[in-house]
Amino acid sequence: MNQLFKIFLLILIPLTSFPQTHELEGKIQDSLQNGIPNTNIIATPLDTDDEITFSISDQKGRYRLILSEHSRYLVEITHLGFKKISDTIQISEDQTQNFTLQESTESLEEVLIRQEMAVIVKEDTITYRTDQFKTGEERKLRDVLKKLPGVEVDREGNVKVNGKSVTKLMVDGKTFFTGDEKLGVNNIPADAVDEVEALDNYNDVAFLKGLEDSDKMALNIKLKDGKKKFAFGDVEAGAGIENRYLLHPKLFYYSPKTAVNLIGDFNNVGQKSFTVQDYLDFEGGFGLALEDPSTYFNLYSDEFAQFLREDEFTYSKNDFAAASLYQDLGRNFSLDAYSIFNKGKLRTKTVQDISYQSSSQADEFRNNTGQNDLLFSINKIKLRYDNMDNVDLRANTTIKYNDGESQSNLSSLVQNNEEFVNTNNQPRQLEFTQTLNLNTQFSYKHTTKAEITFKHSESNNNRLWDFNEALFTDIMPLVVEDDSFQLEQDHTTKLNNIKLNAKHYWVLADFHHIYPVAGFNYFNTEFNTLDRQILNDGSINSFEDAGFNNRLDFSLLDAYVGFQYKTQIDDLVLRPGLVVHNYNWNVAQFSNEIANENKMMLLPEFFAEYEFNSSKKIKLEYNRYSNFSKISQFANRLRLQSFNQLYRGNSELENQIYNRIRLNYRNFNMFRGLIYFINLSYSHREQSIRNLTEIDGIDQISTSIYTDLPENTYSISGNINKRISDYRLSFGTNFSFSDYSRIINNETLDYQNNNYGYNLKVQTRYDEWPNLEVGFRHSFSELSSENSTNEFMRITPFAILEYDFFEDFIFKFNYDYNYFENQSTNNINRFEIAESSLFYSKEDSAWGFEIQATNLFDVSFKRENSVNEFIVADRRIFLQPRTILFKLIYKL
Amino acid sequence: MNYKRLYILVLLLNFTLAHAQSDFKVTYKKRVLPEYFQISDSVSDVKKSRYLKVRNSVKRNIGKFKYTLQIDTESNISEFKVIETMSVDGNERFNNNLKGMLGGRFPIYNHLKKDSVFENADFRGKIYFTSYKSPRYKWRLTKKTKDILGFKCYLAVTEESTDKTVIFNFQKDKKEAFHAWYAPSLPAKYGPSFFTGLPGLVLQAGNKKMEIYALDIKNVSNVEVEFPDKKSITEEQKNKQLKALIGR
Repeated sequence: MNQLFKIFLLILIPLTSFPQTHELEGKIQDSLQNGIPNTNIIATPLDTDDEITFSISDQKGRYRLILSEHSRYLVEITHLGFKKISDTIQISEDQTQNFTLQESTESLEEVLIRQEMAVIVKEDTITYRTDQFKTGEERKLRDVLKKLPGVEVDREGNVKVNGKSVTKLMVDGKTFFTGDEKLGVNNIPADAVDEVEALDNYNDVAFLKGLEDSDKMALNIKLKDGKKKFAFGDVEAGAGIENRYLLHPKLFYYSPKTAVNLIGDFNNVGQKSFTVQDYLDFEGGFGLALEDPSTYFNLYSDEFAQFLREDEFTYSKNDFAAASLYQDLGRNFSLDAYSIFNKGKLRTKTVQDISYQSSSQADEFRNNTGQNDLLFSINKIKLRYDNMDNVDLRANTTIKYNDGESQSNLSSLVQNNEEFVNTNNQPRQLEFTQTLNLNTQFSYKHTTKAEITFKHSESNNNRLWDFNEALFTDIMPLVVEDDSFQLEQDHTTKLNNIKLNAKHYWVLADFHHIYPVAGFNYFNTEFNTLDRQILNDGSINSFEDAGFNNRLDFSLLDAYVGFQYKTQIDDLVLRPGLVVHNYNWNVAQFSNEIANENKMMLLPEFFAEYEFNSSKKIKLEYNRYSNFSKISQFANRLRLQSFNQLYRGNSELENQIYNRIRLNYRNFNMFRGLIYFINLSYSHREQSIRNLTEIDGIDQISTSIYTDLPENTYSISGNINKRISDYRLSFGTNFSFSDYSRIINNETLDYQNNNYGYNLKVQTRYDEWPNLEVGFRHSFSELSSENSTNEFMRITPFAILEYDFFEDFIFKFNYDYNYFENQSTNNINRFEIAESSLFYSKEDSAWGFEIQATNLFDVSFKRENSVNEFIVADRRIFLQPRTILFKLIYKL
Repeated sequence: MNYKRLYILVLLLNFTLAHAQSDFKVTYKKRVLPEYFQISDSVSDVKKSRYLKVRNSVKRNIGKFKYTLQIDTESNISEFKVIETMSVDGNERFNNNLKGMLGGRFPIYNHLKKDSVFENADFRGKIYFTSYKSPRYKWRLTKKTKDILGFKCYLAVTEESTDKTVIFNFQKDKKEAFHAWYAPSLPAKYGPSFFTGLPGLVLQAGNKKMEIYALDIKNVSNVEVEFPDKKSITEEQKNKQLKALIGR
């Protein structure tokens, strides 16, 4: 009985010793009984180790504290401009207590609520001493932030302080990595956080000022001494059937002067975890898009970005590593560097049905498989100098290196005759670029921008061809030993380029500006080709006497000077301009000069813009362009381009000239959520470099000519975007018509190429429901000449679904359908591709799980059709079979 | 001789002559004050030099804009607006910001009979014709005086003045500390931007960081201000509409 009673007591005691809590509330007012908002009321327990409680009075001066019963609290009430009140309070039930503050005659800059107070209020900053609020189980900054009064953190890491969104996160006064506040909130270790400062963030746009600065703010995280260096990140590891694996670590290292970001990706499922967006972020992200938009958009189309988008392979294994570094060098210098390295293996397969435009040639069936081994690396260093003055100086160094080996096997079947070509290709390239940018504003009347670039690149491509039939027997002096032939081809290019451009912005008068511009562009290149046969005993059969091999030296100096004149009449801005170029070029083949020319070029330009109002604008632009195309086109000796293409350049080529006029009307009505624009453009080629081709069966022999054969292109495109509550609709259409001529087998043929299409897309933005993006594109294209007409039609609907459910699950599904019809032959083909994934992770947990399936319908190939003056090709590109991966994600 | 007619004619003439040359045209410019270059200690050195660079650029360029205040004493309406100039390629956004500081990017009308100040803003595709009661700020008149352009001016400060740094943090009614020098000998209640409602024409006004100041005052005849014939919205309505714009 005693035992039972003891146990009973043991159970009861904890129940009875649960502290009862009560509410203490009331109003903080001044001597006139007006409520004082934003007063700090701190209650510190005097007898126990309970937490300090804290309240900030609302607009009407009301406050509320939850206190433990029978506990004594020291209540301190402070507000700038008033005398502090201290009182000891003990409550046994819910109580109302008002406090009246007396005005203080001292002027206060800083209010220290208590010596080691949890909160300090100063000017525009609230500082939270986080140690007072931590309980010890916090892992990351988000866990600490949740404990601070007035602070809310959502699942993704978005933060609000007193109802206002945090839009900027700094650590010790500096932007944290890309500036995305979620990265810091979700990853900074909790034990490194000393203080959290909430700062008023002023908006750039003065018109929104009164509105914005009461709605947004910045957080500055102050780190503890000794904990200013830390690392965080996550690791993703996956495995699938048939020996599929994936390892994707993402690590960040932070220290006061250095920030390093490392991404690794080792997989054989063809997945590229380093996306085009990551590449753009390495290059400067959104900041670069604002500062230098043309460089930013060129990145989208450069070779590396294309590689990242590559998805046409049957197998791909990659070992990828990327690192980005930010280093504060002191004295106004900062350094941004990144390095990307990839070693990969790729297998591709393409099958083509080719029919030739010339009716006498029979159809060809081509099968091409390839194995590529490649290695490349891109390294970039950006140095920036910022001082208080009006000089902005930037230096960028880029080093690109790639090395690879690819083996491809091609078979070409024409009417029972099968030709085999096996190629072993070894490209190697090194490129070094140094850019210097200078931007100076002397006064508001004079600003100068200058840029100088130096580039050096070397590339070499060594190819070995193995084939079973003699090629171009009339031209290539092959030695017939048996039914296999081996050709070696070696291409080397060396380039040195110096470019200088200076533009001065001169405000002559309120409505008259003149912008003189001057500069030069100097190229010095070497282009060497070698084609020869390797005989069975290893000796060499040279083709040099047959007109093969190039040893080309080419140098070009383009010096220019010009100006733009800008003026404004009411709301119409006009800017005509003229630039004069002087081209001087020199071509030598095997050290013998074959061309030496000098030419002047006048390039007029015109720009006009009329602004109807703040959302409607119309723009007209006219430009005359001149450029020299690839120097390899000057190499006037023969070289083999592929098993059925031979090419010879032309030393008498000159610069291409074309004119273009564009009209653009746009209406950007953000208020109604309606955006639309229309573009019209017409371009006319005055002088162009075109190929002159002779076709013999499936063989082509071409050269380049400088011609004034007419070529005109007209195009119209339009787009409407409208937002209706949770939906976004977008409709676009485009038309282009071009007429041009080509010389084939000494005959000039005229062509007409028309393309038109439209696309429609709907996107949803629900908070609770699944989000869907659905759309399709319908396009037509037509290529016709006197001899033939080809018409194609294509419909491509797609859907992207994302559904967040049960709080911790995310389901994604992508679907693309392709319907293609050749309206001239009535051939139809279709294929569909789908991808899906299911992700699970509990909030605040370090673990995540994912199942991912690519090529859900196990489609073997995707089909593409193309047409040009010579062929109509139906291509089947083989894809990686269905792959299912199970992934585990751990957050460090 | 019709003396009565002549008498009326002379009276009329007197009337018009007396009121000729009774309108005003004041030209203003803006400038930054030393406090503009104060930066919080929380900001790192690298960031500080970038902020200072931007502020130096503002300092260098803010003086290129001139504003006119045209006072029509017949209708008792004034119009304050910037004298439009052409911006250098690429500077449009920066210039719009400069014009917006302390007001002036969009025309501001001071309508005495309605006791209100109106701003006619064409912003991102919509017109916001907003009215504010005049004076927009709570002024406290002080006894400090100084001479500006030959006129004796008195200093007025906003109620929550710099003498008593009482700052309501993070609340929507956060009040900035403004100052204004007004000349009682010149038409009352007029001033540049939103600095209106004081017992004299405002010749200099601003906040801690920058101010707008008069370059010259001209007595002119027949200023005619065309007050926009539109329905106006309140400040709360404008803020609501702007929030909807930037929120999504």
